[in-house]
Amino acid sequence: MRITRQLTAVLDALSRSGAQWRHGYDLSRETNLKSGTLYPLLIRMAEAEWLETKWADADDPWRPRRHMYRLSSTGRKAVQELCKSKPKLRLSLVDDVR
Amino acid sequence: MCDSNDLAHKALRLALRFVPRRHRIWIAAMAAEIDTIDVRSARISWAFGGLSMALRIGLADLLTGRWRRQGEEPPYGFAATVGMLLIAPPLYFVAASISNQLGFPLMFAPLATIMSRSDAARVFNVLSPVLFLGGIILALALNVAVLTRLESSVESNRSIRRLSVQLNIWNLAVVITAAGLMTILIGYVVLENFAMA
Repeated sequence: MRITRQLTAVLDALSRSGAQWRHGYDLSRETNLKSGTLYPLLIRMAEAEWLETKWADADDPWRPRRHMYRLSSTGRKAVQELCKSKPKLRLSLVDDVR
Repeated sequence: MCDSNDLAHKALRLALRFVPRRHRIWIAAMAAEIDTIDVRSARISWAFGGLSMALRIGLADLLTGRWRRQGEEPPYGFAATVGMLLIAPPLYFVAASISNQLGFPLMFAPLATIMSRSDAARVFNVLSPVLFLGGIILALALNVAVLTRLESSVESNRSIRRLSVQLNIWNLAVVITAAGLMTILIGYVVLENFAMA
């Protein structure tokens, strides 16, 4: 997968969250990426099996279920390798226990 | 009157038409976020980001034939609509120029106004070839990709390629109009630059 500045920002946000599930708008605000940029990256990551996804009920029962994301073990390995091969990317990996 | 929430949901419902089935879940994921976005402009921007993503994915999948490879029929209406929008500017330009030559200057009047201002004429001369030819080529590619299907198979140790053409009236209309416009524009450029010389 081509490593771009935007992809690095998403990887960084997800890797810092560890096992915690994140939703798209939350990631968009943290990375300052617009939805039209963020979601193609999430699609590429999911196709490369770097991303786990699930639908989760919202806190408010009147709101629709939301699509949630976190790094898969393959994704975490990819981030570890990126940290080693490209230290300038400044990726932070949280090694929390699932 | 439709509020920003409605508009955002409508934009994403429209986006669902442009993408193959495997990507629709992502549009649904974007739609699920809309209700949690408090700021009106952010909600609209979120939805239109989804719409632009759907357009990009839909166009790329059409041009690469991925839509059919996944066992889905391509969106004929979408290709025809985008094609018509793309050929509208060169079609207007050609129609206005021809009608002006025939003594009906009404359609050409807005273009004549632009051409009379040197700064605007310079911008027009730079942009129009890209906009016109680029639009025509993209409209042609998009609609030819939708109408044709190339299949290859091996039968009795022989590799066989089969080209089939779907006859869909609106896509065919775009292909024929785009091909006609391309011929007229290229013919005009050739005549103006070589015949004059």
